[in-house]
Amino acid sequence: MSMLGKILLVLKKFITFFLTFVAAITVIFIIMHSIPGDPILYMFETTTLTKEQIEALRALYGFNKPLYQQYLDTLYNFLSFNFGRSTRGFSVLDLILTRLPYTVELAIFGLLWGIVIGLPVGIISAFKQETLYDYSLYTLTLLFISVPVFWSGLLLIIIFAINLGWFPPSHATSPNSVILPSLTLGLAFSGELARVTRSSIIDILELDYVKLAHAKGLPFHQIALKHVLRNALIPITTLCGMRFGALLAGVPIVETIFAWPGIGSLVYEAILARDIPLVQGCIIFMVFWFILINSLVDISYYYLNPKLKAKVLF
Amino acid sequence: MLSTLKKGLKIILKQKSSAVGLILMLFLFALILVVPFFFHLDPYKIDYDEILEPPSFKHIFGTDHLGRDIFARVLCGGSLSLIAGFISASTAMVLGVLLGIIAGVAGGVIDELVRSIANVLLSFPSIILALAIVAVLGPNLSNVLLGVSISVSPIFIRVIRGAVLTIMSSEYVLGAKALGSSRSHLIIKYIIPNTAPTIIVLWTLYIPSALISASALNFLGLGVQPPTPEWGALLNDAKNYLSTAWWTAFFPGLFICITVLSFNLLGDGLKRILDPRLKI
Repeated sequence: MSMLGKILLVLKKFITFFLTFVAAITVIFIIMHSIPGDPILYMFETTTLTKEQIEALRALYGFNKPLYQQYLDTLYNFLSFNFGRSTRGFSVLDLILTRLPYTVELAIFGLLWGIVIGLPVGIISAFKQETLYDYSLYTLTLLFISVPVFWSGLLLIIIFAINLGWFPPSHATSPNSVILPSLTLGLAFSGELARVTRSSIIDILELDYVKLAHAKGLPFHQIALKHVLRNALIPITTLCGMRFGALLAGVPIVETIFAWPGIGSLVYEAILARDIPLVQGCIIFMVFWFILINSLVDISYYYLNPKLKAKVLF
Repeated sequence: MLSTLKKGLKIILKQKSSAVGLILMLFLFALILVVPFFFHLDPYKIDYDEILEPPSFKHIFGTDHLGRDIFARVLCGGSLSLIAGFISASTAMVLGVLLGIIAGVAGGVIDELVRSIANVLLSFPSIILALAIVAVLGPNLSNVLLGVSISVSPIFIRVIRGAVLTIMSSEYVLGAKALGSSRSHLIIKYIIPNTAPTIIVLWTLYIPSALISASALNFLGLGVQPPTPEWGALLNDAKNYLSTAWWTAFFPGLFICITVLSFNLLGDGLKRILDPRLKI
């Protein structure tokens, strides 16, 4: 790919990213403005407030302006990273940024657990395909995919926190608190990763150059490492990147189960407190992260895959 | 009609995994639909003398914090969970079929518009969109169903649109067009019959994930309200008694797991039948 091609690719991805972000803000704006009734009455305990105070709140959140003006304001604010204030008066961006490190930590460990469990399972079932190993591992991965995180999380708490007492059941109080929530996420991811690994290795095993390497009498481990695994890595890294983006965006259910102070539990607390500016800010931040990571994964995909490198994307 | 059904059943039973899935599913449906009806199970009966009793012959799944029988609550709650998964996946499917076919057949600006809507909805991480909808419209089951349907629909739109485009560019459709077939004729005669297998497989695969999403929202307390039994809501009750009563959390989750597993087995088998080149 020429230098110009690279620049065009990045530019195109950036424009797509920007347009998707604007559209996502629009969707959130529509959802947030479909609150049944008066949003101020929804957000605040209004029985103790005077009429003037309610009007002041309405002006503060811009609900007294015409709808198109509110939309343009929302768009302008979020695009300039002005996330506004929560109903309790805190800066939404500050609240998010204090929670972000926890979500990042959870995402990294979750991804690691997924790779540590899923990759070997996928590799073994591909090289032993159509054997008893393969079938039992297939059942195992199907089980991992089928278990909802809100059940596996509770089971892990019962086994490892309550009965064995190895890890704390909830909150981020000690360094090993991250083990159980990240394992919950990792188990769910490992099933998916194992399947992608298996099928991408099997695809490559059928190619001529692998058969030739066998015919040349190369030792098995050399073929497995040099010829097969290296080429199977592209779909695997893509999947990992996309999953990492989803994990970074926060995982409300797992974070709630383990009382993990990340963005996911922040959005849940905001929903319970009916703090609409905070809910809106959190969700837009999550979407921003998510599509940013996906665009980066997309770009890296073109660099990793030599077949696509040759093509210019227009 | 009957012969098509017979043929379909034969295909399903030929694949080991889909046969296992189908049998598991029928067993589960029988348990959920028949047992509560014949044995007069009461999921609401409170008994303060039997609070948090472990599984025994009298209460085979134990009792919860109000002395209610968990076996009764799991079985009666099951129908609600299954219906939730079924309704949201079906709504998403209908949306997907309508928009996918319109986009694929009309092409041009309409296609571009539908495609962008699907892409934008897909840019929301998994459950966040459903969560936002439920948060704003208020916690109850119908809002959960609406939220889950909207968050699942873009996948249907995208896949069905792709399938329609493939069919539209095939030679027999080009031929039919050249002979002057109208759009409605093309849709009824070629597009619907040829996309039906894809739609059915997609539907089977997304019933369990819709069920999980709906249960997850119920688990967070944003869906059905107590004392209504539903698998996710039962787990929400159970989460406060983990240290003393594991059975309150174990059995509802086990049933979700078996249900999802049976659908996934069936869907996996169907996928392999329709695309023999596909490896798992």
